[in-house]
Amino acid sequence: MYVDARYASALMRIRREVRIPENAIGSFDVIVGQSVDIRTRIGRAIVPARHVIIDAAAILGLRDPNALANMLLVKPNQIVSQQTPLAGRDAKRGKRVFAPSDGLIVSVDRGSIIFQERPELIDLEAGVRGTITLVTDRKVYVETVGSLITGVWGNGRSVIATLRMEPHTGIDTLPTDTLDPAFKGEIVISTRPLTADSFHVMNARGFAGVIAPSMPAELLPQAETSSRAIMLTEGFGVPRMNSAALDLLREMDGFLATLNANRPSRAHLLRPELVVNRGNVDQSLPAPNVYEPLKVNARVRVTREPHQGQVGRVLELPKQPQRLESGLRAPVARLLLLNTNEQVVVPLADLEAIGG
Amino acid sequence: MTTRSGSILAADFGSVTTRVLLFDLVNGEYQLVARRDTLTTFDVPHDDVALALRRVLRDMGTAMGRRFLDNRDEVITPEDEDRSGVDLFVTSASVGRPMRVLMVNVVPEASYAAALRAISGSYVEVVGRVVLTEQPTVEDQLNAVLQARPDLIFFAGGVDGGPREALLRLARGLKLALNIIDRASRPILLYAGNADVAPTIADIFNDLTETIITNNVLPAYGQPNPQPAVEAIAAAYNRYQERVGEGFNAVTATSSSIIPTAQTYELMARFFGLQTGQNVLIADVGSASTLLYAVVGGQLYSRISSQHGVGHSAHTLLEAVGVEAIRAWLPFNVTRSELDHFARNKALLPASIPMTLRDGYLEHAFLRAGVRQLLGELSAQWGSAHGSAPFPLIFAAGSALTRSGKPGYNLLLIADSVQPLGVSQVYADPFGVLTALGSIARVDALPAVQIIDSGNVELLGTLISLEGQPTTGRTAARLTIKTGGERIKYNLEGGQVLFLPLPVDFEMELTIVCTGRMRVNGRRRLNLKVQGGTAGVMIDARGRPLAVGQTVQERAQRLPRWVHAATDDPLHEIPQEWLAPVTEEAPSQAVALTKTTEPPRRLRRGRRAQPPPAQELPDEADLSDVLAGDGQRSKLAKGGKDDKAPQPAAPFVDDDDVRSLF
Repeated sequence: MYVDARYASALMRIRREVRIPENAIGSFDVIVGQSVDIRTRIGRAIVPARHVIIDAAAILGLRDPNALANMLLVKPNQIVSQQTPLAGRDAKRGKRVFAPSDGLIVSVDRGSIIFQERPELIDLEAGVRGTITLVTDRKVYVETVGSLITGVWGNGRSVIATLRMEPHTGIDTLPTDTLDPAFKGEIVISTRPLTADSFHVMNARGFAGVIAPSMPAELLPQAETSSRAIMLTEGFGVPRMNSAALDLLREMDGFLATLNANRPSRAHLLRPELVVNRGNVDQSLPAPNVYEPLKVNARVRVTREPHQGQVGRVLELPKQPQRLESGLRAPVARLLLLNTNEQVVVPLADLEAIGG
Repeated sequence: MTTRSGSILAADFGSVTTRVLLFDLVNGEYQLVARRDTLTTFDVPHDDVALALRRVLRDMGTAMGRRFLDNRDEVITPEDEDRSGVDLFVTSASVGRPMRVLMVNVVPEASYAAALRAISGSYVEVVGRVVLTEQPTVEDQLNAVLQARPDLIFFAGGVDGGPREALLRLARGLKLALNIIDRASRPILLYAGNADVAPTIADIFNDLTETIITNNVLPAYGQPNPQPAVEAIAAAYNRYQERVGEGFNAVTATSSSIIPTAQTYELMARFFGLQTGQNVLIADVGSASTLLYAVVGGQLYSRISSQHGVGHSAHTLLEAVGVEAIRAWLPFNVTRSELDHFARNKALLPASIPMTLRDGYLEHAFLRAGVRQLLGELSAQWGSAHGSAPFPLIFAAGSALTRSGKPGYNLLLIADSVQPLGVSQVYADPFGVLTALGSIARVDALPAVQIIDSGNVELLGTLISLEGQPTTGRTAARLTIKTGGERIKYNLEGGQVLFLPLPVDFEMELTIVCTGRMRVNGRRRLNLKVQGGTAGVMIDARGRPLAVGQTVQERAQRLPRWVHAATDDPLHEIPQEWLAPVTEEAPSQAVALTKTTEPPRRLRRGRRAQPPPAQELPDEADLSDVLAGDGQRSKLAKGGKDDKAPQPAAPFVDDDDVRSLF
């Protein structure tokens, strides 16, 4: 029996996927086998904006639309600013066609200039120090060895910054009317669920990102529009952070980390993750064996109530399905919960392997 | 008997579960010989659907002492002499995001409507439309294509022999847009319009992008012809899946092609409709989408919604049905916030199952409310106002409806969700046999027919649904059950469900005499022979539409009793604190409540909790008289094999004891 995997691992072979966003077009400029650093730009993408068809031939009074080619003052793929002359006999005087806004010259077609209003430009960074192992039209894999924590939800932002544990009293208690630079530009680890105050603090103090166990679903609009990268390790509501992730995050306090707060969706498949390159480690560490089913002694995380977020060790894998309090019958595992030393029975469907 | 000698492997890639079935010839006829399922590996960290297939085939190979994969980890086909591999490998898929489709048409009421009908059975999401009568400029067309970023442009318009200019004008706009998109990202173009324009369309687009030309969806006014377009969409879907990768390339290297799971159901619904001449319903409630196919009066109707899945789409389901529709199925008070959290977390962990009682009710409330809404929309297509119809044949698929772990519970969930009228044979298909058959039938019909006939789909049993609005606690129908030589009388109360554990391959005679305005099959009295199944026979006197209860207190009384009747598990009580009013202003309190509330003590000790003191069971004195006789329990026997002498007078008994007679 295989269970899902959501890692909280101090050292493992990591495959980071860099993908062109669904709503964007772009390309990669790396090849398989190439070494890349965290900040290496491996591709670019743009989110298309509205296209405008400018009937330049008509504006210039050309009888033959093909004559426009000789009067062009710009080239396709050229970025222009508003009021840049696009076509005319002379760029400085006479009848001319001007850019309606900042934007991009897309193409010229039968006397018309196809102009794209300023698109959003996205630089795609490697995010980890490693080696390119796959390049396709829309995604690239970068492999490395390091620490990995996979979350359950992210707000779609990415950031590379230093990890920092919250103060003992929590981030909500940080003063916002101060010039204290502490936490500015850092990824702050919150052990408590986020609140509306947390957003206020992270904006005022200039956090680069936040890793928290959970937050109320009511805060989704704020989280989705926040410019900070936000990753939740457990989900929505008020669950606390699982001990495997929390222990590892504490261990990595002060490390440079890549937080890909990918927003999971049916279309994108990506999960949010925190990757930390570790120096002087064996780069030949093998990848997890994907053909290894769940076994006794495996370390797992429980994903649902009443033991949500708890980490346990598998004691037994009974052959017969068992009845749950919910009334369902399902294949189960008997676990020892590591925090409480309690033995519990949990359906396999509610377990995730977390790695070593 | 068939002359074919090979085995057939069928794989279905669902959003959460990948199911693999192996069929082979047994005594000259195709039989299901092995089945396995595992978690789909479409998602990270694996990002490769073929991994789940390889995992299953390795396990299956080890268990059967047979090799299915070659050294490159591809399915061996055809079958070797040493029985390695399979003769035929068919696949279907519903995993991944739906194919994004831009509709380009001439007239909304004509070609657009016909084209929509053609795509209704596929996993597509309509992301935009360009309709000529709305007078879009070339710029509008350009932006429609560029901003919608479709995977497929479905271009249909005009009748055969009709005007050409309108279509060519639309084609010019599309051409301009396609020219701007980089070649690798250009959508597939499917043309199913005026046949006279098809060669010109091919000339315009063949060099620009992958172009599929098929027959007109509306060859003449009032004569839609969606089928060729349906098949072309399947082909486009296949190419789309190959294009997006995620391991499908490895699968298609040796399989016939990847068919959208929805199309396999459509084929099977048509088949059962034709074969039986009766109304048929197929309901597949999945994690990401729900599919309903109904044959009513010989006509096929379908409704597919990627908003109504109970896992990945739980939060869109909540938005679609609304909070009140979910609350209507819950035996406790709940805030909007708790529902939101539940739905959002379920979407993040779609494969998870509820452990606690409260979570169990929440999960099933989503299931019931989602199917109810979709069935309402589906039944409106055949003019039914109450969201149902008599369905003599019902097939349920998807883990939510078929994998509660108890056949009786599955049957209850199906009854609650579908709320059919009259008498229904209900089948559950937890392992995706129907999907496999739909895939196989496209390649070879004979094995598919043999597999259907050999009973490879689980027969849950017979569901008898009384129509009308019963009064709770009053007799809704008088039943006379003939089991072998024995005759039992039973008063069925309004609001009650009775489960008779009649096994598969067994029959019994049943007479139902309805009281008041209650009816079954439109009649007051009905004599029938009913078939058993893994769940037996369920007689549902809760009325139609089903009265779950207006208040949370009513539901707290009823729902546990129904679950108890269906599962024979100890009757659980709803904790009193769950019935307390909740305020929307304190969402976190509701969450905290679920964390701190302990299950009822009686349940935890494993003893049967006492039922709520609501209703008296009927005629207990008569019951004790009967059971005091010799203490024997009668058995149902096929073909009247029961050796117990008939009772001179048919006693009235209570539901537990009727159940025990089986």
